Amino acid sequence: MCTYWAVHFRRLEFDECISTRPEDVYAKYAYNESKLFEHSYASPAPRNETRAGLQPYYYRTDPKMPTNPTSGQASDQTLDQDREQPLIQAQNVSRQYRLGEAIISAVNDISLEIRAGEFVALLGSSGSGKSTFLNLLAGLDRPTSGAIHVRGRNLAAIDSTELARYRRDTVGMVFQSFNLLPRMTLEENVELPLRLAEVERGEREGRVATALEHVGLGARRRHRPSELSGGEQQRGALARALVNRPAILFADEPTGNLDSANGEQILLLLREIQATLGMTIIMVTHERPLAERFANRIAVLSDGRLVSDTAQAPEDVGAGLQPGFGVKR
Amino acid sequence: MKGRDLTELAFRNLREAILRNSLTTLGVAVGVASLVAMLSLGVGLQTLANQRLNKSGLFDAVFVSSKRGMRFMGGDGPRPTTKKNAPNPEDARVLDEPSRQEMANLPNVVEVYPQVRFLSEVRMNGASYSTNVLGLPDSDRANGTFDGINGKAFSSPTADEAILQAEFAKELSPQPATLIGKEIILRYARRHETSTAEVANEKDIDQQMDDMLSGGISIVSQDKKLRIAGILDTDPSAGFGGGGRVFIPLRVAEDLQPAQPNDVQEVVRTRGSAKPAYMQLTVRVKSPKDVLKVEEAIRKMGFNTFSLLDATRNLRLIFTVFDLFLGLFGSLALTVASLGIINTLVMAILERRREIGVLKALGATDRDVRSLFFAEAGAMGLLGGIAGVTLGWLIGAALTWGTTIYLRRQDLPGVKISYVPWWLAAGAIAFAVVVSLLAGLYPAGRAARLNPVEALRYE
Repeated sequence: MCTYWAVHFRRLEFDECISTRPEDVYAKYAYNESKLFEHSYASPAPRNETRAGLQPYYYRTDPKMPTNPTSGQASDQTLDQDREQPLIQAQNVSRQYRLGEAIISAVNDISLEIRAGEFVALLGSSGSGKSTFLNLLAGLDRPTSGAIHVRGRNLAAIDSTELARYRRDTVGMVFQSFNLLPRMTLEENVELPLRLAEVERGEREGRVATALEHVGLGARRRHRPSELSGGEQQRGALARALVNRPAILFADEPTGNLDSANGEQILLLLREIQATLGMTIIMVTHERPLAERFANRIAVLSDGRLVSDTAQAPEDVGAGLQPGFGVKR
Repeated sequence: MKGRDLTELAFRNLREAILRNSLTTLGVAVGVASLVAMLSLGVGLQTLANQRLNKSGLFDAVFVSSKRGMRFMGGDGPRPTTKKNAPNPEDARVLDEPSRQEMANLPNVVEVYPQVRFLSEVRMNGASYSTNVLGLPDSDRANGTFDGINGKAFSSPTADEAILQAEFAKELSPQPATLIGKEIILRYARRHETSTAEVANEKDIDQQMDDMLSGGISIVSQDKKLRIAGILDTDPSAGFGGGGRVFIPLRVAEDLQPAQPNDVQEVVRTRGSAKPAYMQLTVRVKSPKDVLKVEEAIRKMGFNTFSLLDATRNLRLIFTVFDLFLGLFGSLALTVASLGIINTLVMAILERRREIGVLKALGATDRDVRSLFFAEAGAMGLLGGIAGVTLGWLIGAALTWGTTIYLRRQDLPGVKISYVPWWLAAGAIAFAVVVSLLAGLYPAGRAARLNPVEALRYE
């Protein structure tokens, strides 16, 4: 585990990583946390360690973040400030569609704050507006009214190119129907975000291979999506979402097209990513048991409105899960 | 997205729908082929005409005559223009040897030579034939004048050799080819200068009176033996200024000192002190573009000039219009092909709507999506252009081949009527790419404007 996430995301020295058991890495680096989770409802990790050489990922990806010139990483002061600020701040967000003469409110005046490192489940029945709200947060759509601030930038006010860059640099997306491009092999699919981000060719190959190894698809990299099972496709999609090192991962019904075993495996992976890297995960689901089992916080939507926003007790989250869970590698 | 990635993705997408994209590309290729074939025909005909005209040596030449009131080119050619208040023609400069040397020293002048043409009696096997003899400059050996000659060109600029015009050769013998290597005798009127002393020693008083007591010229009959080197179908002078039927090296012709039509006028004008003067000089320049400057310089020297540059200009204008029409007809096919590109790309957008949504969800900007579709359109244009130029060249080659076969059956030499110069090939490919990109404008813009959420919802 550690060799992928820590080295891949450059949070851990390679030697240290390979000589450390996953449990210890988890205990040492899974965050620091006291301040990070001060305002959140649960902490997925022990808080007895200080940050040492490993930083939550979201600090490194923000190009506007001032960095320490000697280490190239965000300064301590900036880190603390950032942890106190919500990563995503939705204020009175509404999204209406016009259908002939009728106006349909898919999202109606929702306000929600999400802090870095949270695993939030947007729960609701079909037509509740949860996917629409997710699309708005992910920058795929714009609200009719209201504002969505991510790191101080209002997604409703930036132009389409900036919005595309936000999706490219800050966001990873996983869809219910996987959305791997059928004409490309798995590794080409995973490479796509790196092409869009203009990552150097030499660096791409290694990052793609590592991402696929991590989700247990190293041997299937030359296969096309049609040659993979549903679970494999979704793991491939997850590798694609993470390969560009996003700060926020959006998952729209990631288990909707999977059987329960594969669905659980995907959620275990998400949980592992959130736990080890401090990545913020926002997942849309209509399955309350899954939300309760894996998310730190559950926001329930109904008829386009936010009807409840509940934090999960830390002991309830990830019950029975051990560090190092996830896909066997 | 970087250009290389864009190109890779574009070609990859084209490969995926190989049949449809191949057919579209073929459409472009056919359009470009028709354009190239049409224009290559125009260019080929123009090249052919230019080659033929250049062989005549008329377009890189300035014809110079004195302003002494002689009718230009022995009275057959156009009159030189004269200005009002021009100086008395009798005072104008003589077209003599020093003038010739002065012209030869002008920049970009290759050679200066007189037109030596005279009436002669050709004797062979006891029979005599009256005809014109024309001296040909040495440069004619290099400029293709003797292409297609039966036999050989002059072995040297001073060889005592003659080349017969084919029709004249037929008069000499029913089997002209047998004449090659045989000898003919030219009997002609030779210009002989007489000094005052020679006149004084003349015993015959009538002869003294004839010589006007002050020297002058006399004309004597002279024979010259020449070997027939070859027989030529075409007229090296292209009929300009009156041709000849027997051609001899110009230096040999000058050495013969044949009497020229202006000799008598010069004697009368100078009261017998006439020095040899040329009726007309031809100044050959390095290339037709030098003609104007050289013509201007010679005018300043005080001579009349004439060139066929205006005729060349008109010829070029005619061919440009001709090419334009051919190009328009060729472009029609390419326009139809561009509709094919639009159709293919619009279909691709419908089919790949979801893919566009995924690309946008992954962070592709509108510009990335637009560029991708542009690249695909451009790639089809490029491939179609290359294939089209090849196809067009093949069509042109087939036309040349067919024409050559037809001409040979008519007992005529073959000609290359189709010619694809590099600029036509490069221009046709560039044109195909530009047309394809224009055709891709609408589909690419439409793809770029797709809403990612709607695109992702598309099944």
